[in-house]
Amino acid sequence: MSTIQNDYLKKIFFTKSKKPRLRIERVKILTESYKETKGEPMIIRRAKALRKYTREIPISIEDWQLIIGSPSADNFTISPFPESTWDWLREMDSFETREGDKYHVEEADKEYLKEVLPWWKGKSIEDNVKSRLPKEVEDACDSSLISSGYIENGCGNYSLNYRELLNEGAQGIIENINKKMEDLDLANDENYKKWLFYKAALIVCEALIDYSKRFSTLARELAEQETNKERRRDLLTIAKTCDRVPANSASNFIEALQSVWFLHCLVHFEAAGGGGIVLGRIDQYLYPFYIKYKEEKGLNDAKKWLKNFWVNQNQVMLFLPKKTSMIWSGHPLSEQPTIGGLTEGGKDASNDLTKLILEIEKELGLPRPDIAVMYHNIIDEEVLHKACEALPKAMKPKIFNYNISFKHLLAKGATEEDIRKGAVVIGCVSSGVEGKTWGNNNMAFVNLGKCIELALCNGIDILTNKQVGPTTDDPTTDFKTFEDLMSAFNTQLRQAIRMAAILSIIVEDVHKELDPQPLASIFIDNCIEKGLNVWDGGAQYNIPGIDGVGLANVADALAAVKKLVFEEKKIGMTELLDALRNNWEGREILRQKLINEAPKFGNDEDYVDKIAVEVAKSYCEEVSKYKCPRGVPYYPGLYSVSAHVGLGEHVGATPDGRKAKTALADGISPAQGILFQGPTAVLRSLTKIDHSIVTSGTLLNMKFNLSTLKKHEDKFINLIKTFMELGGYHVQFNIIDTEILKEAQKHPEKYPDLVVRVAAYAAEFNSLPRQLQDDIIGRCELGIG
Amino acid sequence: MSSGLIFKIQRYSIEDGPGIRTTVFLKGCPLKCIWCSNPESQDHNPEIMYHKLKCLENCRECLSICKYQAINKIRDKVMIDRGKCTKCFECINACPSQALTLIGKRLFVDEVVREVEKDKAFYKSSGGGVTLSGGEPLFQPKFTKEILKICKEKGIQTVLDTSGYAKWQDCKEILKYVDLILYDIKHMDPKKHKELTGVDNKIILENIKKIDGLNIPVVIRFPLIPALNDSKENLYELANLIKSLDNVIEVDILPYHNLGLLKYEALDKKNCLSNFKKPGSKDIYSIKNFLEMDLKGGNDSKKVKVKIV
Repeated sequence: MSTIQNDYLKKIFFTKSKKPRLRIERVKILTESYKETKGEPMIIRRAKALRKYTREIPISIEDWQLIIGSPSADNFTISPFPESTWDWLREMDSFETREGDKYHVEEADKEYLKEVLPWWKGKSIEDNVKSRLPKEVEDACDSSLISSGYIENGCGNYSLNYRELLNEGAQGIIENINKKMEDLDLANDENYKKWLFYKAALIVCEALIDYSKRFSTLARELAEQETNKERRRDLLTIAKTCDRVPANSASNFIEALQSVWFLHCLVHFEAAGGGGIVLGRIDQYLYPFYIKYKEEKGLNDAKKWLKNFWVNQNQVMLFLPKKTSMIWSGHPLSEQPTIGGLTEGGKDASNDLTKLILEIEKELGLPRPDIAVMYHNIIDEEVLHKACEALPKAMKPKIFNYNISFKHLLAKGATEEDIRKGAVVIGCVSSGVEGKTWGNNNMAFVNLGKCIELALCNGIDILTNKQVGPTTDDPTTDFKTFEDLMSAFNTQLRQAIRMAAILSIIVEDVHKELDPQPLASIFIDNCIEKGLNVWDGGAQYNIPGIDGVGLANVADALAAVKKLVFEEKKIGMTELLDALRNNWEGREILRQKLINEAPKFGNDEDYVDKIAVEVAKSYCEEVSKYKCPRGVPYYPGLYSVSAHVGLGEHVGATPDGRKAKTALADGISPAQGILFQGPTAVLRSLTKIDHSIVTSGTLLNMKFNLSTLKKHEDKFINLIKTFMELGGYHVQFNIIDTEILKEAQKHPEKYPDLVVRVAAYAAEFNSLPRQLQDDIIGRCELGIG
Repeated sequence: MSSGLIFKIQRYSIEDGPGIRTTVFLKGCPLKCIWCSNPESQDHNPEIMYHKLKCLENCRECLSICKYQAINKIRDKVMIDRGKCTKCFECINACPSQALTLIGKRLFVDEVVREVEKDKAFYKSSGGGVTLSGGEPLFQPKFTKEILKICKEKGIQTVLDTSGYAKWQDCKEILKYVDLILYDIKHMDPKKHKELTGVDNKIILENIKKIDGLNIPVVIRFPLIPALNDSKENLYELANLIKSLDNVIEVDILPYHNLGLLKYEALDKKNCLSNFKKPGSKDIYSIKNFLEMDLKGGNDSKKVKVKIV
């Protein structure tokens, strides 16, 4: 494909997503539908709302589009989801000018929203979660000891069975459901619930078909008016495609792409702000369609349609209403396909399509979709080479270790057969089985940084002076040895995890009641079989996660106190606490001592690495003790998405030398700015932690110098390979020149298309708030010495 | 077991030989190249380095600990009277922010090897290993030999980065444990060589010829300093030398840079780095092309790569 077309497609993206218009139609349709269906079971209300949406939401086909449809009204717009959160009326005026993601809102639309949004009071997920929290959990949330990824939005984080969609079509599924309904004896409570689920399922199938028919009609109308012959032919192809899919099984590559995209757009209606709805093993399920099409029409034609599908993924943009959620700027959806991996027979599964996808990534360099490469030691070298070529342009892919993924999935109860067939990354980091998994990977976050603060302050929040954790002795008088501090920390940690488990249970209770997802459910095994929607336990695999944030800060803080306070007695506990309370004000010398005279995690020093290993282990064991209402345990993760910034804002100064309210360390990455030994030391430190017990996943973010990567691609690849051999689970990269970032901060206009990786996703640098930009720049360079 | 003086152990070293390596930098060098970008590598003694940027505004810890009044602080900058300094290094221990650092630590062979072994997994996957560099590793022959010997025994691939300015007897003994040699040729003319590095190149040129008889692959490293060693004549002589050797597999051009400037300041050492021009990329490539063309003209069976490092 020519550079001109690439540039054109990129331009479409960058102009359209710069300040998308906020559209009110979804709010309007949803509110009307909820009023119409008052009193009906929630699952039916959700299904009917979706059906009304597919019939009434404004649609358009733009001249660049070959694959059509959008998760919002028209194309590249933002749709709020009041059923999740509505209380952002006062923030609306800042949408145009605030830091981070900006939206354009028409004055008339503002007036409409002001009128209609208050109707949602007490009905939203957020209102319900907040009103149900016990006092102690509420306090823990207020102090940011814990938080949840599902309070202000519905739930994404799942993988759909796209193979089923492509093989059966919506019609096939309808037939299957009808059969199930025929066999139901309704004089039975359980069967009645199933019957309701099936009823809702039929409504959403109908919605799926209705949606495509409207596009078919529109495409024909446009074709009639079209004077350009080529475009007219494409529009007629589009019309024909929409006649067939998703109602029927896909008969060619274009239909397959379109069918997947229609479903993807509509599950986003249901997810109501939830992200992480992943594309799964796209290089596998699309491969037969791709090969056939390529043989008939040639590579360029196949690539043209695939590339258009790729650009469309950038239409998925999350509405971020509140200041507090600005840490999610840049639409971090993690809706990646997982490419590579193994075949059912244990051979390398990567193919021409795998490589083509990476090539498209290199050519487009757009932030979405994210890409995960499932690495194993027999993967085609060419895939790794193409990955290296895509990295500087797209900051993708992220690399996962199949062997560890396999162990995670076994621990999550998956069969070996299912793992081989369907190991994918769900949401940002967690492993799941394609088409069979209901994720909820971020049920709760536990602020590990806060736990160390509480351990040093007898359970009192240093910033607010509130008692947030249990009383665990006064450090100045009662801590005789380091073990006393460790024991206090573990007590605080246990309590925090307990709070996180309660929060997760309550969040789930609300979602179960208000957030049934019939459309997602029919594409997740075994919901139809069991007649249960995902929140009722329909999915074959459930993998709810509770994620710890700030491991490196905790390890560094504990090591510093152990060495300088208890062992060398260079610093007194009272002196230390005093400095922490005053956020190092006038104590810079002390702070520097703590930074420089104690070892830091990530430098391959056992003294501190062992502490990290121990904390990680206690964390994982403790999380696994709690059970989710669907019967499975909560799975421990050590990653933060971008929560390390938000949670860090509520943590006072810590003995690792970190200042109050600054970001915590990201995932299991070392803390910002303290690396001396380079990337091999980082990887060695990190793999002292057993990644296979961190079953919800780990995240390492590494920054590499662009010139080094280009010059020494082979060494870079070997670095990653060795990390995987040593038992690392997941690594992602920022390939950037620090100078470029600083320059881009000063002159954003010069770098309109600078994409960087933030925690678990790629985003446009200029769209990020200053604070996150600084965080990225502050990370020390790992690439060269 | 012997010990030696080291100023840095660099992991993930990717410019000093094949694969991912750990480079051990030995302190002390018989040469004093006027463009040297590692002034801290020259003296075979521990030294104090001072980084102004890391120095804390209101901190006087080093001043108060120094028993010899060798330290002063003027306009937020620490001044060390290196004449008064007895090298007790108390100030380095007292400095909280690593503004004062100790360059040069005496380590035993096993301590070095232990550090090198840490990245064994990375060497294995990438075809890397250990590189001994400096300073001049042959300046501490016993120490160098023992490290290399033990590394070889442990299956770690070894590279020696040397100026070749050493006794042949030492070279011969050490090279038994070396898989690849990075050999610096700074100038072909003996007089110029002495002017620029302080020593004659006679031993260097003799040694490389003898080394060629040992059948160990050699990479010739040529630091490119405009106006000092980039004359046609010198390049021609260099190419002739390379053509006369059987085991040269590669020539690396190392374009001059002045990144060492701050280090001279930090050591209170005089330098003339700012007198040199950084070579332009056009010049670098034209020299690369010249060497490539000229080397091709030699023995056809030999393939010598020319790289810019």
